[in-house]
Amino acid sequence: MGPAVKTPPLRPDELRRIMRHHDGTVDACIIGSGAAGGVLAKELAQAGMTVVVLEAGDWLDTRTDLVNDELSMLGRIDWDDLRISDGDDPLRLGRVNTGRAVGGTTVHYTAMTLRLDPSDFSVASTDGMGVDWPFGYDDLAPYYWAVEHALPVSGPRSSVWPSGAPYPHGELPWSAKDHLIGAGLDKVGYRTEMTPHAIATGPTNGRSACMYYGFCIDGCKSDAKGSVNISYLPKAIAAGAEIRPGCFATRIETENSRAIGVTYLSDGEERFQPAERVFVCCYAIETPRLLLNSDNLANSSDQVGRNLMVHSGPIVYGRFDQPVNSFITPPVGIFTRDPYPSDPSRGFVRGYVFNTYAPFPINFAHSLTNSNPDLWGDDLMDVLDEYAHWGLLAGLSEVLPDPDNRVTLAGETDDNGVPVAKVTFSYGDNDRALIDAMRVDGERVMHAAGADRILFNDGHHHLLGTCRMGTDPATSVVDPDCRSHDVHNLWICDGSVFPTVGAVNPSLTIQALATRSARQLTTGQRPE
Amino acid sequence: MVKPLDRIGDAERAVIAERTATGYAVPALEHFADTEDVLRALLERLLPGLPATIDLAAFVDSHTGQAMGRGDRRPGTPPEPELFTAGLQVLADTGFADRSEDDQRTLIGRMRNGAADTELGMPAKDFIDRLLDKALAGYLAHPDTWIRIGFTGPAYPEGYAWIGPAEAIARHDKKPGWDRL
Repeated sequence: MGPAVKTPPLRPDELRRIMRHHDGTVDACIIGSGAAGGVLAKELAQAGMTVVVLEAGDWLDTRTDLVNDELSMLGRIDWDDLRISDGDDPLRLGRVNTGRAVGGTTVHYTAMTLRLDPSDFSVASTDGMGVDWPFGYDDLAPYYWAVEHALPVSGPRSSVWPSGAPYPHGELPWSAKDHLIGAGLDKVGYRTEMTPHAIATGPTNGRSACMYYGFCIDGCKSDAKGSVNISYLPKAIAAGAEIRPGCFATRIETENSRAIGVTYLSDGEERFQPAERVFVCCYAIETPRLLLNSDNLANSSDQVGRNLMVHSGPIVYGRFDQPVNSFITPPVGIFTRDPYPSDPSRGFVRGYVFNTYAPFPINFAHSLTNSNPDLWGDDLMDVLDEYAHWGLLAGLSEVLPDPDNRVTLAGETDDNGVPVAKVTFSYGDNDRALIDAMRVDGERVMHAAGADRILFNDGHHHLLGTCRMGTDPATSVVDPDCRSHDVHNLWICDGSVFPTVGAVNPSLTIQALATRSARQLTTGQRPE
Repeated sequence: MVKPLDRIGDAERAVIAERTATGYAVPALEHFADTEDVLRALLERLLPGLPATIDLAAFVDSHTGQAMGRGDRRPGTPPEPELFTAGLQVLADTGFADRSEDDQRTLIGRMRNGAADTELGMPAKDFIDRLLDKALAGYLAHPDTWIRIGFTGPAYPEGYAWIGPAEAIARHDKKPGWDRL
């Protein structure tokens, strides 16, 4: 850790006043200010490096620029630029999985902060599919702990599953949906706990405790949610880092197999930031797009763009007689990890979690109509009229890597003439078997809870893989410290590096990996 | 029930006031003036019984071309303005607006299930799916709809952190003053 600093301000205009500006070559140029980029900026700046963060999105003041209104925020904090989506199961891309703002996708994430399970690091060894991580749970655990305390995370005092409990903040309250659906989970024999969230339940660092606005995925106005622009970037700026919003990186420049800096667009003008080290933190589509657009950089393994993974997630909608009024707390409630362990007798390997969920009306309707072609007209109006009576059980399951699921460059270009990403994705046999089993299981839970009508959404979440981490330069893009095998002063640090993805939301793991990479670089030591 | 306007934040209040005052209405459609009857017929079949206070055709027209949080496009599918224009024109050419409601519903059902792409010579499923998405955003963003479906709208700045059992019971039983809670 660097020197102790007093609590930095949170508002962008105050941060701009204290922010240093760096001319010439910096020690670290970080592309992307999201889950990973924000952590790296704080860690590297506190270690004494000069840091510039290039962020394509705007720097929003959470109180004045965010509106607690779905329509106002649709497209305001999302990466909804053109991507060509192909394959047997073309992915929906935008709000559902990528963000664009200072703080990246953490501005609109649900803030679930589950750790991967120890078994997730050795999928090939235990199940004969996918690959193993180059290190284990115990290697990452200290960094999980560091992130959970920096965000900070609220959650149960103890857990029956591997976790960070006891957490720095007490858990969020159970809402009506949790009591209702929790009874169903209980009846079928699943244990439940409140999900750990990067949502403060008491005051911390000048931030409010959670006020239960419910609008987490439209951006948190109370600053209780530990979005990176609230939890990490103020500390990065206090330690000397510079954040440049509205800067879209178009190329990483190299000379003699070393990165020398980043070419980017700002207000339509092309600029160049020279740097000793470059960190790419743009998530699993824009990261390979940038590398491919930089003359196929760091790709001697031909693995850049391959093994794109999501988490498949059928959401089970259940209609109840009583109103559920799910929208009065953060959207994610209780969860169970009992169906998580791999059990080949179920007809597939790997597993899933269930958690309760509460979408706001537009999100509620879109996720239903996108998956149910016969839902429109009178039936749709009836479902919408009973919006407050629908409770949701969301499944989230592991998808295994497949080199043919990949990001390449499309023929189309964006407004700046930069080729856009083409995303090709199809589920594999194990993925489909898992999804089918989750639907059956989820329906069983919801019936046990008393739901009298069931609908499904066939959704997916998160974008992972495409720059695999490993020890062999022939089969992976980065080493276990997230450093490129090919270009030694280039790091790729975001969800792209996941060799396999487990079945939990990835942001906490991304942030633990970023903490680990930064501390390996600056000290070579683990945190205390 | 939506919170009283004097109890919510400036930005949220402005959004509600504007939508309530205009219902998205515009003097004339910008993109689809020539196929307005087809657009209105489609919307009425997709979301039947729309209240007169919400002009969804105007909402769709003024929001066409805005990604609104979704950037993916299938290979071969044109950008949204062209997709919507082509879809409405194809339907206009078949006299869609003058056909019986049952006929209209049958065709929409086939479009939604991907069974009309060849017949209409265009990505008809993409067209109808994206049109429904857009219309739903407008319908479900209107305060009149919130009241109808039981969504409370924005609660900033006071939130619900203060809700305890007494307040919850008062709301449930509609005790005197419950609607000011």
